[in-house]
Amino acid sequence: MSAYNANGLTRRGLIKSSAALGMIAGLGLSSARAAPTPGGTLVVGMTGGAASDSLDPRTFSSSGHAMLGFTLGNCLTEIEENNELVGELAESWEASSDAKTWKFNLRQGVTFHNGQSMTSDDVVYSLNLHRGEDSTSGAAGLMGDIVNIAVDGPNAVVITLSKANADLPFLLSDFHLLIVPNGTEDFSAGVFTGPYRMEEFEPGDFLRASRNPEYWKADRAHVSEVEVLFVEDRAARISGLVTGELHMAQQIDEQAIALIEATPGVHIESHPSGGHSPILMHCDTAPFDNLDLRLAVKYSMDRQQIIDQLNGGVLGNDHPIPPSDPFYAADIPQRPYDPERAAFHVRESGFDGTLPLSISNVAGARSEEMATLFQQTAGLAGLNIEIVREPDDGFWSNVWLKKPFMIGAWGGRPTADIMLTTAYHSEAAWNDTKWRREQFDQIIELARGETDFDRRKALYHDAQLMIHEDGGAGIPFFRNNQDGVRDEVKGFYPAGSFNMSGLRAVERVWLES
Amino acid sequence: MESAGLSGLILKRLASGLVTLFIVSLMVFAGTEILPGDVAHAILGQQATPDSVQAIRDELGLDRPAILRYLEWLYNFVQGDLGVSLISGREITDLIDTRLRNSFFLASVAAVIAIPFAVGLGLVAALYEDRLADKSITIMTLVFVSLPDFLLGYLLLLVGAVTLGWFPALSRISSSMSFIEQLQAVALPCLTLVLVVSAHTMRLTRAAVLSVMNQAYIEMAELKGAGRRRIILRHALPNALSPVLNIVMLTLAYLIVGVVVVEAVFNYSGMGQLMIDAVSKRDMPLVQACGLIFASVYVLLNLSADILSILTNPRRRRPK
Repeated sequence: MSAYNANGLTRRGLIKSSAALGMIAGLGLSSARAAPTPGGTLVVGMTGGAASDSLDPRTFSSSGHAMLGFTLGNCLTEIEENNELVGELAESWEASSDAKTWKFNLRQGVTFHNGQSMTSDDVVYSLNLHRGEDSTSGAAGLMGDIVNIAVDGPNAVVITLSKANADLPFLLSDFHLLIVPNGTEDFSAGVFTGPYRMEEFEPGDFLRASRNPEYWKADRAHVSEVEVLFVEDRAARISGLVTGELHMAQQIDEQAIALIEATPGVHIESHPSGGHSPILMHCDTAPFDNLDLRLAVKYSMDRQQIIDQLNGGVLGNDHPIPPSDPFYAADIPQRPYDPERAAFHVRESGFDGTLPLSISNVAGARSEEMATLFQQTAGLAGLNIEIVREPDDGFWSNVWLKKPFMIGAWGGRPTADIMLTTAYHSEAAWNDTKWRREQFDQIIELARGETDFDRRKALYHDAQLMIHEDGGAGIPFFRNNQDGVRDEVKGFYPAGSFNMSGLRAVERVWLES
Repeated sequence: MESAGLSGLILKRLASGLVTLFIVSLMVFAGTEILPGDVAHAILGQQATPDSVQAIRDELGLDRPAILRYLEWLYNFVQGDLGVSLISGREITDLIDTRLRNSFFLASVAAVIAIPFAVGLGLVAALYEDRLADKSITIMTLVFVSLPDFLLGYLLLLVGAVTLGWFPALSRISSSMSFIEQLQAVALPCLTLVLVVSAHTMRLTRAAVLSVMNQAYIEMAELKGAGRRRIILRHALPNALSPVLNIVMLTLAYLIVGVVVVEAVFNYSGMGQLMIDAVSKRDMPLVQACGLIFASVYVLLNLSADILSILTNPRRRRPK
């Protein structure tokens, strides 16, 4: 058995690589080290709420829902600063050498908001909510390889997988997989183990919660009351932040960032994520079955210009693994904007028509601007692009995976494996470039079960190189998470790919009086 | 005879109102069916896998023919059962309850201010036709009528909340707040609505009064030597009352159904937000409920406009 402890040994290569990228250069770290002030009411403005919302974790689909979940509950594991995985309700874990059987030792002395102690029965019940053929959970895909979850005494669970997966502890940090009391069917009371207890929940409107005096984390949950408000209108979030009605507001418009930075009392927490908007080409459909044409598209994007204009983030290199990932292949040369080379590939491909590029603002407000910039630079390379604005409604069901040339959107995934498996494996339902290579499938399956970090990294290197050279996605950049935060909020730090400190800001920050 | 005529008319109008509501429900249903994607896709968004979509469809019975689902909904509806939201499974009456009250509260506060204000301004403008008061009122209202309501909302927000800090930028009301606190919370959306609807109402009031002013009996009153103020208040206004009442009713209807944008700007939790959610999630019973509430408001207000105008104008009781 190779032992993994809660200190994130699995990610040892990470701190070095992210420091080298300058990602953690002093961003809120000094204040994070200061002693927290307890008390106050923290108000957070989120998006993605609706009157139909519930506190059933299976129904969560937006970052606002995840924020509700992490205000009230905990998972087995948690992603900390620098993408480091630590135990949350699981104290430690160990895997069999084939990485198919995993034992999670649970933290003892944790109680639910109703006073009941948490045991392995609760954990088994909670995880099983997201499994099974008729599961409607957003996390059902993550749980697909799990064949069994069993109790091992009151303080441990054993998870058995059909295929080896070294990332299982990472998967269990997903915001759907909150631990609830065994047998919970009605989630309206909001009983979890987390930092705050539900006081009032008006779906799509707000959640009000007060500090859980029994909370098992000693150095977390500093404020006495939290309000998570759903503020869907972008301008309303900004005005709420500026007037001080919100302490934090997620997803600030690029156009408003300069304005917020210039406003006293407010600042932007801008941190890299794995989210990206790829230009998707279906590799099984003419004309994109031609590698030259795909390369022409990739060489005709002026990535730096797109980043500058869109207030983007970090350069992308036509594969979906961001530089912040421990398995990022840093030695693959950055593909430049090269109109001559693009023109060469256009000629080689023999294509001389116009390519209709489908876009919609559903896939990010930047899509249209990105498409326009791309249209101009591609035009210089002799590649004619026609921008087709698709209706927002039904975009994901009618355009995505159907139209052969479009701008899509991917949120960052917690692990390289999930990203590569969900979007680039031959059999993936969401293979949105229709790029199918048997050799690639073998590489990522091998990597998934590989518990040695260096061997695993070498495999992922090859996987990224294959997509970079041959794949159907032009990925100009990875976007930054941009949250607006008032200056009296202290202790904010980025964690993982999600914004708002991995959507766990409410238990991490405090208010300076 | 007279009252029988009136109640007959009311009955006739109510019956045609019901027919209108039935047609509205059919159109709302057809509309939600035509929209691309269904509730399963809307719930899952980009996360939709064929399996999970099918699981939701089975659970909600979406694979049954549309006509069957409509009839089933109608059958429950006529028995007073609005049904449950497809997405959350909650009773629609629960979902609508606070939001409808919130929307009515905002609309009533706005109406209480806007209607006397706008009708008064319209009278003043008519009284001083083509003079400075009329000109300045006309220009002001034209400015407000030309500004889209969201822009007006943002401008008021910028001044009232961000610069002056008098009012909150996010309008949140709850039952634990006092009436005064609630009024303060809705001050900005209310002011936005007042300015938007006042412009129309004032212009229409002015036009209604002025059109009466061309009538022979006004000339007669002038020849009698009555002053302009007396002519307008005693002779023109009673005759202009029926169109003005119509305007007022339409204004009220607009206030209730037209607050969608203003609610979004100020993050006010009302029917507008609810209906937007419901449509984007294809939550048919909820869309139906919202649509029918809005339609009923229109039908009822139109009916009351007719009744009031008949009561204030005896000539209309005996149609030729």
